[in-house]
Amino acid sequence: MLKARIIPCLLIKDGRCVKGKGFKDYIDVGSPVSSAKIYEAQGADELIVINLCQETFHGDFIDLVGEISYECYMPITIGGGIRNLTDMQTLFKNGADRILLNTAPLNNPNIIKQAALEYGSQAVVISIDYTYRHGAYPLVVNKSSANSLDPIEWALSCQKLGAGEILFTLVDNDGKKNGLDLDYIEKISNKLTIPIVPSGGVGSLDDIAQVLLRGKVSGVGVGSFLNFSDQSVIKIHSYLRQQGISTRLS
Amino acid sequence: MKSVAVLNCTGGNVRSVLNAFSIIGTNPYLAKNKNDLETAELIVLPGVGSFKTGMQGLNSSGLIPHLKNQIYNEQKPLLGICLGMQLLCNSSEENESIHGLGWVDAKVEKLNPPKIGYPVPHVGWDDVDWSDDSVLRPQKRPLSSCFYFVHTYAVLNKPVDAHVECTTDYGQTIISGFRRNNIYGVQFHPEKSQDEGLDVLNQWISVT
Repeated sequence: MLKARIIPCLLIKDGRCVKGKGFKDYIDVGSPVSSAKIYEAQGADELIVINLCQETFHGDFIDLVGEISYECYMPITIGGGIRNLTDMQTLFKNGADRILLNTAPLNNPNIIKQAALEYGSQAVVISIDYTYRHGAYPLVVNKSSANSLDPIEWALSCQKLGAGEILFTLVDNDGKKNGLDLDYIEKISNKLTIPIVPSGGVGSLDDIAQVLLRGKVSGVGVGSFLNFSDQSVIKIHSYLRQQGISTRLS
Repeated sequence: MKSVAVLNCTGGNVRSVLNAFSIIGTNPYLAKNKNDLETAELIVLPGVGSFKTGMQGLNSSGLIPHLKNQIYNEQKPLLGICLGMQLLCNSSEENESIHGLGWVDAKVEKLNPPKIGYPVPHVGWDDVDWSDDSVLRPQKRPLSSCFYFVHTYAVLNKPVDAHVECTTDYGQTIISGFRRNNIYGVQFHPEKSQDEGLDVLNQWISVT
């Protein structure tokens, strides 16, 4: 049976792991390579690594991807600042198993189609950040400002263009450990046929269990919950198994 | 130390494959030409991408005749991983007009599990059921059976001329590993499946 994926998310700024709240106020939370090794030892099911220095897709980040890939024998999804197929090729060559696109497809949706044709849908993950800050209806966020897109509509477009998975992050809850957007995630799951991974706001073991059970998602992205508590992937897996959710034995 | 030639013309994360074969104590290197294949004791065909780009990569490398010679005449073991396994087959629904290597008599089809509860692509860690006559099942740790999958297409029917090494249940049966003489294929990524995956690579090295 397919196992629920617990996916630590590493945000990289100037060669260090950082963590913020609502996509700002970042603080240093450690070395990327050491963090990756620790999560691997805990039995993390995958790793997401996001480059926050989006203006430049510079060599240091590529080197870091290579280093993490050299140290870890688990799947790694890489994103942040990918502009075109050449960037994707560079990442795959240096150890990415899948690539994560956010801004590029908002400017040019066809990049999803091109990437899926070249690398296959399974290698193309789309990251959709969204917010409720403008009212009751969620809107997609692009480079910290909301645009007029409905997250579900945008996700359906991405799926149609060939996306193989979608990472949904509620910016409002990011880093605040106040819970996932359960009702909305459940609504998304019912509309899409590709795997869904929510993140942003995990604050308890039960948040994770509930979104897996009720939200019917394939995995959960976890940041602050691992950074700023005594939780570990081992504890999460163990709790999920107690709730009858199939996980890997870590 | 066994030398392992890893083909580099079919896209994807070849680096992880090299790393994994290093850590289990073999000497892996990228196969760029005929000589690289001739000096190898074992050959690996990894691959990420579409069936079409994979076959285009192989064709334009010019290595197919040499690879065939090493596999069929020199009897060297070959392991196809993920897309690499699929390229060993006759054809794929992904690009109907493209011929595969055709070294295993099977067709690659799009996953078509029940609509509810089985998202496609099939992504994540899943169990395999090893066949009784499996040779890739790790003897050291026979319970090793959970591996990382990431794919939209797979072999769904038992190949005419190959042994089924293992299957995976994803609302439908996936042939997740097969073997035909010295040709092996796995749909999952042993190089990305931590210790359990390395166990499978070790097992392949030890039986070949």
